[in-house]
Amino acid sequence: MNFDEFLSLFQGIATLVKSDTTILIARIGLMLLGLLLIYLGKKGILEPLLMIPMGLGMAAINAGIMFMPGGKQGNLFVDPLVTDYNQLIDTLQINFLQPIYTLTFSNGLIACFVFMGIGVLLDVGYVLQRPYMSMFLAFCGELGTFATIPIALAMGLNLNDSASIAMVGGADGPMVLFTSLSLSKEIFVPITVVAYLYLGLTYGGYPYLIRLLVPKRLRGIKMERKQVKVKPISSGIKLAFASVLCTILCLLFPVAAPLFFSLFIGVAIRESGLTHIIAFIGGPLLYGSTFFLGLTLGVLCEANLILNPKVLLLLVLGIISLLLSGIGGIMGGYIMYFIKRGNFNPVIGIAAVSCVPTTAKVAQKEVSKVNPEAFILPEAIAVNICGVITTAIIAGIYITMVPLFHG
Amino acid sequence: MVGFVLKMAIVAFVISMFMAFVIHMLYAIITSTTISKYYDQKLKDEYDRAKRIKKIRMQRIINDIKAIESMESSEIVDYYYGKRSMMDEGDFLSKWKKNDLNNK
Repeated sequence: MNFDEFLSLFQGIATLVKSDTTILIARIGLMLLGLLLIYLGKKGILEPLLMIPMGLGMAAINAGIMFMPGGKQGNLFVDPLVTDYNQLIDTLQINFLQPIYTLTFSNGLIACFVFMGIGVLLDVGYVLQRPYMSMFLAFCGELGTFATIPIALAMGLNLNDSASIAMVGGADGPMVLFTSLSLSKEIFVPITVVAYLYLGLTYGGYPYLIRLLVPKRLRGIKMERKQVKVKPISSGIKLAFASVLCTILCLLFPVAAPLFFSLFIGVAIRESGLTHIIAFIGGPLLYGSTFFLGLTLGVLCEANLILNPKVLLLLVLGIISLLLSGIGGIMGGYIMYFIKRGNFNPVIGIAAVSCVPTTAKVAQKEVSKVNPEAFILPEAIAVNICGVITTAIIAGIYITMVPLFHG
Repeated sequence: MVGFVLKMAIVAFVISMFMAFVIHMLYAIITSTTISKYYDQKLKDEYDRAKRIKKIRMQRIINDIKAIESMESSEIVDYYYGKRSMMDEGDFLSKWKKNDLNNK
């Protein structure tokens, strides 16, 4: 038995040895990155629910490459680039994650499930009380979504790809997935992977941005709330509000209608008090979908796929977009601070980056560290929810207007 | 190109503010329904009731103060014990009073 025959017993290693140096380095690098993501998820620096399955998927897919019939290299997880119908049917019977990818990921169903779960957790009452402030801040938190387009164009991307990667600034995974599926189908995998990778980073990165941009004395501002007569917002009012708003948004932006519908059906279920369905959607469906989303994203990080020349560019642009959005949100917070003559905590602005509910939690956490008596969560959640609406509006605008520019 | 991006940003801002207006109006319309009026009335009734109770309690306190002001110190003690036992505050006060009498 010679060395090649011996190696063929361990095909993962054999494919590694037979690969180009670039692929070899990338595969090993991605395996290590996967393990690092698991570690960071366990440590709580990144979102563990997403990062642990994603990290393990990334490590496993890059380790488990084998020689397929015909001598090509492949895996038994998923083939995202298969387009031929007959080939797809074969692949569905071979690759164990292909059904999840084809039937839930690539059509956005899994994103809609996540949105339903988020909807069940949302209380729209906060938005009803402060619509203008929340919408204004949410718009400020979209700075990266707009400002990244010219930067991406200057770096050589076309308008469709620029708009898709700029959507990372909206910090809404499903929206990025949806926009890139509509505008940049050929690179939607790397864009989505970059988006989710960075969304995990908001948890660990934004606290530093807050500390950098907002001085301690402003972070600890305890907002004086007007002593007005408390008007109870009944679940009936919230249900009516969610139903009408969903219909209006779907009427205005049919392209984002599945996402609006998914979000507001969650809200409607919450307010209708269907306890068993609430428990199902807010529990197994939300966590199950997030888990499979992470897993699918992890196995999509295969070296051959991820080594698209545009990926490095996308990584840079993704972080620029998210950083600009964070800065924009805090700038919006400062504007509100001046408008309200100091009775506003500028940290709330970071919640405009609509990574529901992570950024709202991050904002409250940072404020509580400085002043445990300052409570900003209601305002932050309202801004957070409006951030989702604004991101959906922008996704609708991009999907509608960007093709018109070519046309 | 920058102009096109700005145009999209302006459209997004206008739509966002329009959505804020829609939310505001929706809330105003929904809260003007009968259900909301019912809740408002219920809240008003509760508020009035609390106000009435507060007024009655305040009047009692004022009456007490007025009564005490016109008394001699020994009368105040009697008044206090009488008032307390009338209010039936429980075992503690009656026991205390009994012990007090025994000591005398």
